[in-house]
Amino acid sequence: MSEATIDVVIPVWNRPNETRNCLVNLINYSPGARLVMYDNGSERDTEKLLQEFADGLEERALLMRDDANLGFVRAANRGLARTEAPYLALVRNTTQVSAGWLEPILAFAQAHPDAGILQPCLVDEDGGDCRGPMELQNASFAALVITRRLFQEIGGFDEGLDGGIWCLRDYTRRATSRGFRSYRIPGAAVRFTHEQALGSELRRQETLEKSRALFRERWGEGQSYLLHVPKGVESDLLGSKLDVLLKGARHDDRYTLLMPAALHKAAQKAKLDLLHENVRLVPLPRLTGNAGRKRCYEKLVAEEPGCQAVTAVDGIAFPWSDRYLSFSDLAQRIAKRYEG
Amino acid sequence: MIKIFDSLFGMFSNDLAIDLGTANTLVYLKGKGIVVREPSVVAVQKMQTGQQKVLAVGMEAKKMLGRTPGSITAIRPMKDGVIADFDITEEMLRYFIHKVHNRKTLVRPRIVICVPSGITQVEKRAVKESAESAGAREVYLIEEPMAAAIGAGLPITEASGNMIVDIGGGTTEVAVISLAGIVYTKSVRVGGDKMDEAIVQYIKRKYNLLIGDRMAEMIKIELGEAYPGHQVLHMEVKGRDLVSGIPKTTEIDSNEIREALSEPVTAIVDAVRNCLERTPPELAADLVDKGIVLAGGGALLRNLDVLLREETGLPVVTAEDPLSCVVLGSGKVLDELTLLRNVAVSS
Repeated sequence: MSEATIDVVIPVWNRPNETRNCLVNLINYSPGARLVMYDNGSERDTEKLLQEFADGLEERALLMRDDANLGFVRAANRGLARTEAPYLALVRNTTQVSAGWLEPILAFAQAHPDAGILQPCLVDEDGGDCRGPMELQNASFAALVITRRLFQEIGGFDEGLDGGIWCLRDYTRRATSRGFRSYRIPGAAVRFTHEQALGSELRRQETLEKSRALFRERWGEGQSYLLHVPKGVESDLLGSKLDVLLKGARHDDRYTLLMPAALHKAAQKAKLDLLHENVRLVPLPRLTGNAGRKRCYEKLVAEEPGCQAVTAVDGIAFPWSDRYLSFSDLAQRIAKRYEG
Repeated sequence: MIKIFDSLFGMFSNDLAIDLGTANTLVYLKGKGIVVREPSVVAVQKMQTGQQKVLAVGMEAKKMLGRTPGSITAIRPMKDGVIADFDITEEMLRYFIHKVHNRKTLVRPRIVICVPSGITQVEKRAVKESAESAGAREVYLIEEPMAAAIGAGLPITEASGNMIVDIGGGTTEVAVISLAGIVYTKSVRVGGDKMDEAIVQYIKRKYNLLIGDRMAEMIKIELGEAYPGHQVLHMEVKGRDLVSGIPKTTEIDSNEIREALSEPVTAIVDAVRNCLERTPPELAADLVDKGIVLAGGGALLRNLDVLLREETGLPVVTAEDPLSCVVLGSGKVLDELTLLRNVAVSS
């Protein structure tokens, strides 16, 4: 039995230079971690490199090897299955962690027993959004942490899905169904590069469609709503309404709330804009008349075609559309769809 | 100053692509196509001073293989796909460059040379320096499987996976190519030469008959097969009886040669299987549809495609002109400098 606080699984397929950087950073900046390196049939130079690390780290490392390339998700699952620590991390061999990446995540997870999946502050060459803690629709394979409790309940990733976005969303939904949440935790930057998509365009499209269909079959399809919050609503009332929406957001519904700029500012101050990535608060332009606000609404509708208009306060008409739902209708719909 | 002369002479020179193979060297002249297709053999005479004088290169030198008097040696300067004799290779390259240009002065061409994917930085440097010493103004090295894939007309710049198996004289290169890069490659030092050697050894063991390399190559071409065909072919083989020491003729058939070739052929099949196993599943899925393309002289071995099809379960096709795939691919990149810079390897 290992003494490690966290087991970090790193599936590796070649790229010796990136792998070396990744491992060195993990060793330096992940105190109390044990590295579970899964060699996915790499070439001799990478194989030797992993062996050197494993020899040097002794108890702090576990090296697993397969002669065939199983693909990232399968390798990740096999690695995760061999973990023993209370927290498990999955890191791509092209990702580079930095000092202090892990501590805020573990502290948050200890303080929030419902946290099942935790994503560090991921940045690519264009930067990244690290505000939070914020609930996520899905984490990223670049780097994520999961709790042993969650892993014991739902196991690894679904190997039948695309090995990308749908696989991650499915994992979050499986976690949600057991009462666990998925969070992005602000902290030291973890640098990652976007993986080059391999395989023909047509085949990738087919795989995505197949995975999307399977996901829909399992979890249904999320709806999109555009809510108008009228003047006079206080941030406390907004907070209580957002609590209702949060349940839907965790089930892939997307909510865009259009509100007066002053309320938006107050909501930001109260960190209501960081509840869930599926809940977006948008300020209405200050110095324009109704026409300008309507343009803002139309722009959002164009961005999210098929979204349904909702008035956030029952009895106050939605200003730019005759067909809309009342908030009570929406709350009922959410409660009915996502019982339990 | 030298650069000014280089570019000036460059204006009078034509860009070349060279497939510097273990068995044959092919030269592609930009705008004209393949202009040289000769064996990579050089006949040298040892002078009393200890210096070596080149007597013949290519076809003429190959005829001398095994038939030279004591002072003359016919040398194959390439072994297992890489330069074994630096000076002789340089002489051979110089000969081909001058032959193509029909003159010996004012020749400073840009040259693309193909190298096996498994070679070391030192070996790459040796090829580059040989070409530079032979008169090249700029030298680009590209990996043989990449050149073969371009020559075979595979869509290498697309995201889909393409598998090429290039069986040359000294090496067999198996590669999966996507987005103008080699995603995975396996190079084994088994090729036509190892097949010839296997035939020599087999006949020696079974019939106590010693045959030469040229005879072995002829047998491979006439009778060689990787998988049983519809008919059994026969051939008379001439050699020296190892017991009596006198010349002898015996008849062999294609079944025997298949048995003789089983070791090198198995090594090639294993390399392909290994490459398939280690290819990322996303690309392996493409290979199921698109299959494997065979290139290089070894692709002409009868029923090799059938054997690979049976062993891998994938469709296998032989390139239209397997012997020229590599040089044609290198020639194509001469016309597209952006692609050349993308696919060229650093040395």
